[in-house]
Amino acid sequence: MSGKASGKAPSQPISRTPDAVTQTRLCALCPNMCRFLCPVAAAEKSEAVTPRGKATLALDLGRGALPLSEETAGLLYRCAGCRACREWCPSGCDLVAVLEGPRAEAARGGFAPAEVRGVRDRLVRDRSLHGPAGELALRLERFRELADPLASTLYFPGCAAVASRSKAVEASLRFFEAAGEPVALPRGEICCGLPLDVLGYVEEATGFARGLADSVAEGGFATVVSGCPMCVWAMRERYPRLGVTLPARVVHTSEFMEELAATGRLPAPREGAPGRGRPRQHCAGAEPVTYHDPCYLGRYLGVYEPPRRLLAEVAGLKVAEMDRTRELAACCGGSPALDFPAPPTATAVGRRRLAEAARTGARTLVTACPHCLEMLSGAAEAGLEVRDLAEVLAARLGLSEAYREPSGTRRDEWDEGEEPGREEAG
Amino acid sequence: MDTTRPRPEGGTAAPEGLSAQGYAAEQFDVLVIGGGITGASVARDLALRGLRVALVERDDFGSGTTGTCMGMLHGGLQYLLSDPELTRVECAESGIMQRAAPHLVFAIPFLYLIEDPGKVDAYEAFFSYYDEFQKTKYGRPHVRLTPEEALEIEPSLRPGFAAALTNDEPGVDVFRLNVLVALDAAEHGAVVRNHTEVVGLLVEESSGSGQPVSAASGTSAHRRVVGARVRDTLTGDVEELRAKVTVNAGGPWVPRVLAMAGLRYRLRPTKGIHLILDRRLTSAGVTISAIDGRSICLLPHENTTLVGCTDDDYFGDPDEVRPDPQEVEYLLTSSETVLPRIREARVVRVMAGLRPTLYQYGVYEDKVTRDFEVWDHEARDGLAGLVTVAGGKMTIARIMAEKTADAVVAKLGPATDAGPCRTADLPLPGGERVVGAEETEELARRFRVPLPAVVRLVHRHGARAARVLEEGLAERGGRRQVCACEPVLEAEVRWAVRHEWARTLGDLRRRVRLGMGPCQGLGCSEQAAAVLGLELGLGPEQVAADLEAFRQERWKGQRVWLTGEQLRQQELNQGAWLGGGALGGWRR
Repeated sequence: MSGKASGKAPSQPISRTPDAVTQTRLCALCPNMCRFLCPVAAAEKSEAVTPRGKATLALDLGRGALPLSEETAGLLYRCAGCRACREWCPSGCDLVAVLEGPRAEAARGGFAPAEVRGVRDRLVRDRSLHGPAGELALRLERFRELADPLASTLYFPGCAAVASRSKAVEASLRFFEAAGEPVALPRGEICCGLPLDVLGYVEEATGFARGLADSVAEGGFATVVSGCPMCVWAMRERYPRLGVTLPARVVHTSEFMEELAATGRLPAPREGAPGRGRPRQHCAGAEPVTYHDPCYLGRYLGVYEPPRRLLAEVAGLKVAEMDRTRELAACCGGSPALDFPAPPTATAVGRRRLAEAARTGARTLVTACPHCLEMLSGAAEAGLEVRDLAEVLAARLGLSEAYREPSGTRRDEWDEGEEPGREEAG
Repeated sequence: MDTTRPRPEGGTAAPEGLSAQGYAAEQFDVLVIGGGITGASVARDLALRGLRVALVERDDFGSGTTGTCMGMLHGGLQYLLSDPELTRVECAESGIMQRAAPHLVFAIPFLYLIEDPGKVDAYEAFFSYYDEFQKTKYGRPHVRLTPEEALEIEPSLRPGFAAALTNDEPGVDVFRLNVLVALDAAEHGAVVRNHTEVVGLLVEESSGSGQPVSAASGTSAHRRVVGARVRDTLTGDVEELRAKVTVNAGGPWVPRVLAMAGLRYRLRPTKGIHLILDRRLTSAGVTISAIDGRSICLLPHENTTLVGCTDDDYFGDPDEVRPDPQEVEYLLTSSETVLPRIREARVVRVMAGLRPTLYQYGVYEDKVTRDFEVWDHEARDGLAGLVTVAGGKMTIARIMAEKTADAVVAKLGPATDAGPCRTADLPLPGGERVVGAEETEELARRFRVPLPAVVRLVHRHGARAARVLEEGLAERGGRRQVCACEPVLEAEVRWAVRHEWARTLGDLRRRVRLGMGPCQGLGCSEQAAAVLGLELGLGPEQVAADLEAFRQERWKGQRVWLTGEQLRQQELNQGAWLGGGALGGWRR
């Protein structure tokens, strides 16, 4: 294994650690009993993309038995990084760690698939995954009235939420407002850079991390709240490993909202008439909802109960659990690590999760990650609404307000077909 | 290949197959060509009658037709209306095999789904009729289930059927059954050899040979088959085996053997394919009406699911029978009407085989008779010393063998000291007594081996499981699990090499189910190859060549169904194991 990985050591910020080498070997020679847990293997129906298949490839690439080429590198990107296999693994192998080194080598050598290289180019050019950062900042501008630039808490929605889920951003801000907690909106970096990191572009990701850490330091924020679990994990767990320290506490909105709810300043959930003029199907009564654990929020950050408690205690909703929840929750495929290199696979993974959600009988699927939201709402069939936790909470507490687009701005994808006023109270 | 290495004596008489050199001088009573279930049964039958028998198999026991069947000793439900006598015989034979190898045969509950509410009573009457037949195979009487009850048993069935009828059919590990029959022949004195191909029949003019003329031959026979020239396909050694009577039990290769004697015969072989899925989709077998109205079924087998089969005329070379993606789609399309979840599973292997069905013109493949015939070529073609058994089914292999052996004994004449057929009463190796659950648990405790591994060991070896463990665990590493898809102990691998003629990884696969799980041997083959190499004293090059052949064979069964991205991925995976990964060391 030493050959390739250590040959280029000096220029490598992250080489394969001895731990990763051991894990690769353990995983490659394992009976692969986790194969049925792997969402990618289930969707693609291929032994090659089972955890062991990918680890075998990593092992052979590492010891130079197979050349690193565009063909071999392609398989390295057939992992959503959901870490479901790690939950099962008796040896505690982390496939994310196993693939980290080979992906970095593939990225550095220019062998990553064209889609992956495209993601890197876009991110470096636009400073965001979803269109130029400037445009996203403009979208965020609409919410300035809900924010306080002098607050000690930074609300960092994450680029995916700003780009395609401004409802969730607005709902979060209204929730903070109702709880009497002033928050500031980001100036500067709008993306945490984690997609670059998971795809193997570690140096570029480090640049994003530095930029974000600097702007947090400049703003003097004590707390950073994000609705995107990938951002939270990046800032909390990943940046330190890239050598960047964020001088603030980093929490997910669900954790933060739970803290706020404990202050007792929130209104009681409204029955029947939720939003001001914006009734929603999901809060017409106490109809149960189901909750999808985002991989990064659950298995990465260990946050399983706060969203459920918020739904139950703050929103007064019953949660109908899916077959696989919490540690064993199935991935939705929405992670940029899978959705960009292999969109059909990602969608297939998402459909499987949606089928599981449909079996609960709930008509609303709640989740707490903009990537999950994008994937699940994109793949959902009629009859199942996919909503962000913040949206549901705000609607149940009567905080939502009819939202009008500033004229001349492009509509949100989510807003299409939802003309304000067209829905009547039911 | 070094075959002179002395092998330790086990509890059973060590089969002579591997070191069976120097039989050129011996005169056998009977030489049986073909080591499938039919040929092995013929050899067993004749050996039990006290005759001196040799059995040669070109590849391995059950590597042809026998190994590509569904693995059931069923009662012939589908023939009940067209040929009730066949159903009667099949039920009776199934019962005999269940008594002979109780460890190896297991009941598979079946659900027959009936779509049309108007036909439920008719089907039930049909099943009541079948219940009368299936007593001899220990089948339980059918039960009529409402759709709700059926869905409770198998929740993933597509609702909408009117009723379900249950029934149980015996399943069997066909490779084991085949090798046990051969083993029993060997333990009664037969010389049994696999990887031994017949390259020519020894034909003599009776006038000059001085051979005793058989009773039935009279004066018309002027040519006589006196044995065969055989070649060990692994070592290349050629020798002649001489026998008074030669039995051609070549299955689909029957015409090819006869062609060696200048005879032209034909069969109407039909091709059947089966899919093996990477998981158990159901706990019960389910019969499905296919898109063309044929009946196919889906049944759990070990950790996998078997779906099959097709039935289509085949006109090509029996060596070249390959599954076709169209046939795979036929099975999947038909199955998903009943079990939508089937599309979630992965097809890990597609296997194709030929039924050695008798020639018939003007009928659909489904309707081609499943009957068998015994041909005495002395009466038919004036060629003495040759008997062919053609057609038939696995379930009735024993009775086919009995009839064939009767014909052989008649040809040998009254001077031969042959006893009566005893195959209906005697157990197969390991089937002498039933090993119960308590004894199995006791074995696990005594040998400190995980229970799931012992359960499988008892399933395959029956009353001999303790001996397998005793001998195998005496070796270093005997406790190691070679294959983890289905726990296979190194001890069992050693046993198969020493006592069951396993000479290649493919043979091991048939003996112990090595490489039959979802990864198709990627994980286990190196470990097994190492044991095989040590046991047989093979060099690294031979082991590597065998490994590659094994992997290619496994790959052959997978690539049929793979297209596009899946194919690319699996090719790469295969390459990672074959080229770089596990075998990289040998190549450099």
